[in-house]
Amino acid sequence: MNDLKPFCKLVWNSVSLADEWSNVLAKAQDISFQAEYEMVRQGLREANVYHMYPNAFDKQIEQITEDNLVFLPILRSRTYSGFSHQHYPTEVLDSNSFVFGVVAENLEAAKRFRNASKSGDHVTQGLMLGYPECCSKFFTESWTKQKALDPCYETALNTLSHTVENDVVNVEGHPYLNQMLRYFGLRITPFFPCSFNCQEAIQVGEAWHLVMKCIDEDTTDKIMELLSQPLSWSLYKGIIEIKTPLFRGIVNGYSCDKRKELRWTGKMK
Amino acid sequence: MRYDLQKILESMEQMHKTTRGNSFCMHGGECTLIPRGDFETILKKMYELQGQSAIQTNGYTINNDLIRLFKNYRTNVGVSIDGDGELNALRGFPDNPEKNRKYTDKVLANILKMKKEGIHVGIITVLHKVNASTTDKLEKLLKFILFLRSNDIKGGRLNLMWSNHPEAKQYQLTPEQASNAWLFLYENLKQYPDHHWQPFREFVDNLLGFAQSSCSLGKCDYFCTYGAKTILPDGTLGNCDRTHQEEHAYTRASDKPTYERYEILKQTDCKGCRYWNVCFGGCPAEGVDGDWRNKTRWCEPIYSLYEKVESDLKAMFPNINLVSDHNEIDDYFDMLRSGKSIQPFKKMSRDKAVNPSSWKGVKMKKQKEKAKVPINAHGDCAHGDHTDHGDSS
Repeated sequence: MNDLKPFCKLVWNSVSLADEWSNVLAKAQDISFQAEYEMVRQGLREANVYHMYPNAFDKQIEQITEDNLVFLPILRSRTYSGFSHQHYPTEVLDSNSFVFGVVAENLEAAKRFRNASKSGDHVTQGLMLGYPECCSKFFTESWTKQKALDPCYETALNTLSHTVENDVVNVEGHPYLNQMLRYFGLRITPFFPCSFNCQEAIQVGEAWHLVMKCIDEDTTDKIMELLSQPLSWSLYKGIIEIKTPLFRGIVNGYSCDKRKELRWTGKMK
Repeated sequence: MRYDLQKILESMEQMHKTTRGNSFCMHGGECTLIPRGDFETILKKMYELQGQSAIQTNGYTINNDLIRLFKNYRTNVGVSIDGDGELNALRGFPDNPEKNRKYTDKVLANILKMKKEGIHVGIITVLHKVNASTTDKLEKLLKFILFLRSNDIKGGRLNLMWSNHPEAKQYQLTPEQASNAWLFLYENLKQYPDHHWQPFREFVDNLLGFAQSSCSLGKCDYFCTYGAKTILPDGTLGNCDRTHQEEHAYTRASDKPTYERYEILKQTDCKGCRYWNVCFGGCPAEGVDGDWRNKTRWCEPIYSLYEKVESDLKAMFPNINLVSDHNEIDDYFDMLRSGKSIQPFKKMSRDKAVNPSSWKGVKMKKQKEKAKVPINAHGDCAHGDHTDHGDSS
């Protein structure tokens, strides 16, 4: 089966919930992007993957330069609407494309990251991005070897306390590590943990949480509230569906030979 | 139930401006139970906007006062009844056969009364285990349909009951029973040229490539339904009420539908199906195992009925050109939207054929330019859960 083009749809469970929460979602993505950059600027990690846009590159370069950071391009990708699990390389650079690259604290680090990216060395990339080694290795195994482009289900199966009931994986975990809502901009950490209870990943999450709170405390609190709520996530026929107490969303997934479904009980904090 | 009448009326006006071609229908629960003044206000608004009005009702509460309103506002009245006597046991008072019999008698009397008064009456009969699971039951149901016909009520919808709720699902027909039910009724009604029970007539039109006659076979986006949009009690616009089965009356995802479900079904459940272009995997709400990503649970009856209709059309007119003859058409829905269509009778047309015939070899005339006929394949697609335009007159 051919994978679907990127798309992302969200319907609220009621109009009043939409009124109350849609503003949080509107802000969440920006906070995440800012936090990604801030984590490098504040020296909390070596590198950050970065999108340079043809219609904004002047301002982007100015900021990077002012912050004494460096940018190196890695590839040109077509733009997409919705959520994408991978880039769409292109030669053309126009308003329908962007440059995927790395922002790092110095040129040496940027080159090292670029080399790791080009050689498919996810562990080095993960470490430079500040992710725990166990999580980087897990990602390499599931994403590269098992071709699980969105390994939420695999992470759930790798979480010690999980249970399986009628082929559905029930799992609880730390909201910092909840990656099931990131399609809608809702997340604290930007990586797949090896387990939803990985202590190292939770520690990394503390730093991200603090940085996000400094950017927008109220919205970050709301994001944490959403990430802590129970939800169901399923991948079936190349479409991921997420149901939460507030909304239901669908997004492009990837082809796999069976239905993958998990229930996040969302307790642990 | 709480509702904001003013906002509902505003939404109706807004909807009328933006989606001309759709018609309004007041649905329930039982819509005749709202305060009479509000009921009339909504009928009046429909009439002002589209020159007629429509409701779907159980028919039990119909009285002279309501009939007066129906006349005033040219109301098409859709009545939900699943047959007479015990066939209608799931409606009214399901736990009390005696009360239920009286209920059904009253509904039937009201239908006939409305008809006598000149009201446009349509019927929705839902097929389930109580009225359509055996030949005996189907014969009784046919008798009921013919009784309606003898009272000049010649059409309606014969929808397959479905549910994902265990309590209701026990009454859902098996796919085989559903196929038998539709084929039985189709076979026994086709002798009446004036009948317009659906989906039978619609399936003929679909195979002839005229338009996608019902939203359930027309690539509906589950998150942005187009065949049916609901105005919710607070006046906001929601999706088709078939989506409300899932705990919530979800908001709409956007103004414009998208078709991811159909991209995957074409590659999976429906791969290679000869009726893809007249079915598209069916209504997403009816998806197998309650998952809209699957094709409809009614694949078997839809396929069987198309097969039978196709066979009848071909038997009578071997030269007929049907959508199902065109495997090369990637997406007939898109083709219709772009203003193109197949020409079902081209070999039987003096304009197209040198020696037109319904059966023998035909030499076609050379075509100078293909005609482009704009076809409304989108906005005016009927919705199968109410009688959109009043069916019986």
